Amino acid sequence: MKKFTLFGWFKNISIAKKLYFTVGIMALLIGIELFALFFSINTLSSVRAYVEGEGLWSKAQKDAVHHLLRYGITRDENDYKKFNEFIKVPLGDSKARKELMKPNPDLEIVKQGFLEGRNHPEDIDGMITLFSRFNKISYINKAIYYWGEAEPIALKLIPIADSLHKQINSGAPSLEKVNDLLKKIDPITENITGPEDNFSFTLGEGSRWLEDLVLKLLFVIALSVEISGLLLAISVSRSIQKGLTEIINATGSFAKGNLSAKAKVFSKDEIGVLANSFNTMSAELEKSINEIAQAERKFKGLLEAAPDAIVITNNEGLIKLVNAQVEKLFGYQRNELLSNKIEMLLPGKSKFAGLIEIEKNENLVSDIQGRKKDGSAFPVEISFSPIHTEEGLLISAAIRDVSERKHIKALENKNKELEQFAYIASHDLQEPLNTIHSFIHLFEIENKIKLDDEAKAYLGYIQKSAERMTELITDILEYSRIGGKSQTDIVDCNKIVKDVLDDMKASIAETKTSIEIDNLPTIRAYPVELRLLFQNLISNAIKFRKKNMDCIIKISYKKGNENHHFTVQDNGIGIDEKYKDKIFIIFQRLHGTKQYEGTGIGLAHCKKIIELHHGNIWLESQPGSGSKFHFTLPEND
Amino acid sequence: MRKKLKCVLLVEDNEFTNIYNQKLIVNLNIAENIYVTESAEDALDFIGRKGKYSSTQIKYADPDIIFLDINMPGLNGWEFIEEYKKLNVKSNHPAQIVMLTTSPNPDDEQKAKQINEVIAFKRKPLAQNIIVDILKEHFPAHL
Repeated sequence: MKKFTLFGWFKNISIAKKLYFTVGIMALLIGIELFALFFSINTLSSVRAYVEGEGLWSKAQKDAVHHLLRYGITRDENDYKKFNEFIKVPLGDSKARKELMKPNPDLEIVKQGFLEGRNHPEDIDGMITLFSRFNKISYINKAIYYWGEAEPIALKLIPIADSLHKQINSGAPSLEKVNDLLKKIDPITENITGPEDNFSFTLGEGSRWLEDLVLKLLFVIALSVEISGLLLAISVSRSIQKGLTEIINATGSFAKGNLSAKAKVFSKDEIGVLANSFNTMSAELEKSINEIAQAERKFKGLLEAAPDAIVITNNEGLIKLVNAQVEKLFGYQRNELLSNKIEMLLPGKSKFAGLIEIEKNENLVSDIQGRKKDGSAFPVEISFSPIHTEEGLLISAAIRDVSERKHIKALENKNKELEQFAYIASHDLQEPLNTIHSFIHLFEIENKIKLDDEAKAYLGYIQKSAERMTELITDILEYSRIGGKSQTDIVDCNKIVKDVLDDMKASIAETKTSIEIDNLPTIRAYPVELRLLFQNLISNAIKFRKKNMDCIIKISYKKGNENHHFTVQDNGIGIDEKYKDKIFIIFQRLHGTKQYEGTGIGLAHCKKIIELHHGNIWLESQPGSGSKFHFTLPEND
Repeated sequence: MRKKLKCVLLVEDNEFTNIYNQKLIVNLNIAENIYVTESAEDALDFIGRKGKYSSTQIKYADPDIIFLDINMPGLNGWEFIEEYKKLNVKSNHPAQIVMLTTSPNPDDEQKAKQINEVIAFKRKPLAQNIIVDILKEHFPAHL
């Protein structure tokens, strides 16, 4: 268990409580001081009352002596009465003193006694208190002793007065006796002066002592009030200041960028709470600043990794940020571009805002010229996107060099044109050929009898040539038509191969060809073209078989890495390695038409079909030991 | 004596082809009248008795068979068929169309199959046996 200390407790209470506590302590101390003051004044006032009482006592005793002496001379009863009046004062005081000396004094009797002693009624309570409370104090004790000493002396006057009164009222008073009695009075007066003086003196000394004591006491209390007040104030203000200084230092350090700056917590009061709040806040801020920094790093990373050149400008067209691709594309260093106008890169365009209507999402602009550092111009396409930031609208422009694409586009157009040209040309070439065919035919029918053998042979040559030309043109036409209009579909390769083999049934039977086929996949492809591909490869295998042995064809399939891998293998005459590329070019033939029929377009078709599918076709072969055609088709759903 | 076709119409822009085709049909001796039109527009005029065929002197028969070329300047074969349908020739004597093409395109063949009026889609040149096959299938009475 934690040990409780006043300091520790005071440190951790709230500042308001600290202040209340301080003020409370001061109020208590001031109360004590006031009480002490009140008490001392009361006590001093009681001392004064005793001094006064002594004065009255002394005067009454003297008046009593005076009237008694006078009574002896005048024998006037009034003087006697006066004596009795005055002597009542010491008697009253005596009564009070005697009562007070008892262990349990009857205060009524005491009061009565003091009243008879002609003391002021308001002083009497104080006198009683002083007597009963401080009778142990040496001064008071002594004074009481002297009082007790003087009192019986004074009271000796009463028997003298009684005797004198009797003598005078005896009817024949003896002068001698009267004088004897009167002579007894003087020594009493003389005896009484000593203790009387001592009494006053002692009281005076006591009151000085008390005065001194009270002053000292008041001084000590006042001093302690001031010191404790001062100490408390210092302690409170120092603890506040210490905590605040710590917080101010921490915030200053934080503002200068030390994000992990924390304020030390000294107490659990408001300052401590404030320090804790600051620490929580700074931790949160540090976290979010770190997150922002991380996001910024990520953004910069993305920016740098982007394949396009990215330029970020403000709304006025000043370049704010570029990535490495910009340096690469335009040949500038990054710092040469920053804070410059976008015009540097895109001549004539002072800012993006004029080029586009950002807010309308019309954010792609082409047909713009970019300019490199060396001054050369190149076509670019720019896609814009607005970025709304605290600094206002920023525009991010992804700039792409489209010279390559334009080049490719031009090539594609050329290619299309060529295909179109081939199609139209071949169609238009067919017409006159058809006419030649037709009329040779008619001519033959109508002039059969008239023609000699030579003429018939010539006609045959014309006929054959025309037929070959028709074949060539038909092939060009088909070649140019591959993939022209058709669409991909899900096709079962097993079915396609089966259909092809059905069509070629006659030639397969005739050549005694045997065919092995793996289980083939179902894939997405151009059906008509894929069929043509298998047909060409199979018919090629049959066509280039060895004359002296049966033809064996093996169609295999293997699932490749993201593609379909097919092979068509034969045991035919094979092809020399050096022709492995040439065979795929249109109208390239390795053999004379007499040896092997054909136009030489079959494998060109195959290549074009494979390219249409974005696949590959290649050959593995040795002359005399068969050929193995491989082709792959990419796997797309 | 077998029955002859009343009228065969040739629609073809190539004059040599027309001479050849006409000769084939004449040699087969299957038609009473063979008319040659050198464009789709001309053929439509013939069928609709318009233009140079509007004369009331000569009585032109409605064609039983039309040999129609696809590729022609002006209206092509397909457009001719569209226009022919609009003429709304009497349903008791609709022509049977044989489409002829130099470069047979599989798409064109598919398209031709969708048209009721087209009875055949043939590659040029036309030959006697082709005509005979068509007659066997569609006009058996005329052989």
